[in-house]
Amino acid sequence: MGEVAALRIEHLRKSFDKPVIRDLSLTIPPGQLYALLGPNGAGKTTTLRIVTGLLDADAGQVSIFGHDIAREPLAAKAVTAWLPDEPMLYDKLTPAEYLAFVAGLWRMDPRLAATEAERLLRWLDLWDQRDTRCEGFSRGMKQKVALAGALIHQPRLLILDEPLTGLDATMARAVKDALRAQVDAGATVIITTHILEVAERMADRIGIIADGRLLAEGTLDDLRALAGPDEATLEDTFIRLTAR
Amino acid sequence: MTRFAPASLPGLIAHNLRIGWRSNAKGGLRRKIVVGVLLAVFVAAGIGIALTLRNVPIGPSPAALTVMTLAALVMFTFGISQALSRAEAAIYGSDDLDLLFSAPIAPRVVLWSKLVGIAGTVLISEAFFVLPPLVPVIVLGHPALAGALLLLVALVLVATCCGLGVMLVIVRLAGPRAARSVAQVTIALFGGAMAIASQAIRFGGHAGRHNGFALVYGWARAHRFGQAGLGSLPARAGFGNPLAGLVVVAGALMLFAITGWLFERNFARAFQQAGQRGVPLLHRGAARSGLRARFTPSLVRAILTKEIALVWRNPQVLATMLLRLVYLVPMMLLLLQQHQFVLLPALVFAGVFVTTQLSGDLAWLVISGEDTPDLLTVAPVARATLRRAKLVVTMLMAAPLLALIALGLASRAPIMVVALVPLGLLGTATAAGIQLRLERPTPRKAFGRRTQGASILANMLVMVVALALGGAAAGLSFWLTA
Repeated sequence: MGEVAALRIEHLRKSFDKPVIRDLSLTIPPGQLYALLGPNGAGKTTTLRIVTGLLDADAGQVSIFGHDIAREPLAAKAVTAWLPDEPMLYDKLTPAEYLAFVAGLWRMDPRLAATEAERLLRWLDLWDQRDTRCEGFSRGMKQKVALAGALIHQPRLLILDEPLTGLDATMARAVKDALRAQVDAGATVIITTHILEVAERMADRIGIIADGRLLAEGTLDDLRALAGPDEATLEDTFIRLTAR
Repeated sequence: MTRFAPASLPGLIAHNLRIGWRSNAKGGLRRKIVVGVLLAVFVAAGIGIALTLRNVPIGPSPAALTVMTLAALVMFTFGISQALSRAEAAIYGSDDLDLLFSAPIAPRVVLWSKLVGIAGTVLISEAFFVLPPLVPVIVLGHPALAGALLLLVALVLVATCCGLGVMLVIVRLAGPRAARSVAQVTIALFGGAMAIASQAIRFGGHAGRHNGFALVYGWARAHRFGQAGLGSLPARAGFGNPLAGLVVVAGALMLFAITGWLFERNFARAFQQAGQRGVPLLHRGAARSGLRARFTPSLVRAILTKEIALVWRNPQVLATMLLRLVYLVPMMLLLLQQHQFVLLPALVFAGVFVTTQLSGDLAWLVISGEDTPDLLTVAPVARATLRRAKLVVTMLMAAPLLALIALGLASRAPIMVVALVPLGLLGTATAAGIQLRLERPTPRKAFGRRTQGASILANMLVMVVALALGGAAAGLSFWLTA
């Protein structure tokens, strides 16, 4: 029996006023950091919102670790964390209170949740601010609290939409280290980013979508080979593929 | 646009008055119609009163002086409540203070423009209630009462000074984070000052069969309140005594000037402190109890803890809740002390009505007022489970109020609790059910605007349910005791 994919998308379709996702199929094995790239309006965020259950697909199937999100949504959600570009925070709650609420939603064992919360708050350098309301935090601090919220229930699949937007270099580095650590610990991480260097340096595999379709997918070397015989950067490859 | 230079004091005053006027006049056609109808009713009542009093001599008799002083006191406490609210908004909710303080304008000019702006908007609010009945009376035979207009201006000036002063003291004592909540509680207390005063007098041993305001009047007359000495100056000014009018207005203007001079630095400091809300909580009870105590496997408890924290930390929400209680509790105490047993069903009605209304507010917060609906959607919780949990949380949050009324009622008429509790719980559940049915996730900061747009229907339904269940509860309690 083969390994169960962390995420399997088959013939996904979604339209709003016009088609946004057109027959998208994608398989992401577990234990990888996968970068989903694409120009603005390519359908990246829509795809991820369908995967996380925030949007219903018009057609197609999505499964997370073998759990179909339409038939077994709770089982799929239990192992997934979603971190959008705008952190899902309550400004009036403190980081500790926010983590307690998220842990409650995921029905974590209180003892395990408290231990994990303390570990995350210390690791993300938020321990001294654990009783400070989020309303006074910088964007980077809020992003770290949201990341702690995403990690507290120890997800097997972590999905992040533009996680580095608006972060300074130090914060961006901290978030990248955190993501790499998750992958090293066995989790699967999917990120969308416009910063191609991030995908180039961090991702084990990269998918490029445009106009709701998967244009290319593979390791960095696979994509370079697809783009042409010369020594192309990911940026060159991306521009060549999406310009077609 | 104004004809004054934008950075000048008159220009900034005109700017603040315009903003104040627009924030008073904001709202859609529905609000404009309501305000128009209210105004027409006030004017019609004013003309009726004026015609009735046309040939009645009105002068500074001892009883009239007391009445005028009490009326001035009501307007004064209302003015403080309004000024405090405006000062709080100026410090915390004003989008233009960053701009004004960063512009090459002296802080003194900014403060003065805000101070006059606050006084102007308070005056507009008070004039709405006072002018329609007062002006016809002045015009139709009692020109001396024009002094009451001057008195009103003086009261507004003094109330503005007090409001700003109280706000700055609150910021100083409570700190920038708690200041807004404390301010809202204070506003509610000032707003309900007369109701609270009537209870203070009642508990001071002046019980009787009169209502709260009659009690206050009786107490004031017995103590010759506002009839002699300096204490009679406002009332005499109101009755057109020129010397008293001059003293009152000059005194108010002087106080206004001194306030501006005294608070110049403090106002800027309070504004700067307001920007430092991201400091650690002063209240570290939760921290002392350890991180582990905050975590729970119970979905209901997780939501309840979050909602209580969010309600407690949202001054606007807290104020709305408290306002309902400030006006309910004195009424409850009053009715409970009545010797006429027959009046108790009124308390049962009020209890069910207010609990259901409060539940409507809470249900909006818990169910629709969700800042991060996506977080709840991606959580591994079935929608039905989540909705059930929110229903339970709404009922749990409203339950203490119902329990309080039930306890009070049980001391006088235990049988009526049988009518109060089930119908109160039904009202709470129905209010939450209506909100669940009409749920539309909206950012919590839209709480003040929940009576507009899609929530109108929900509010109307909750109101109808509150009235119907309140009436049913009152009828049932009457029947049970008949």
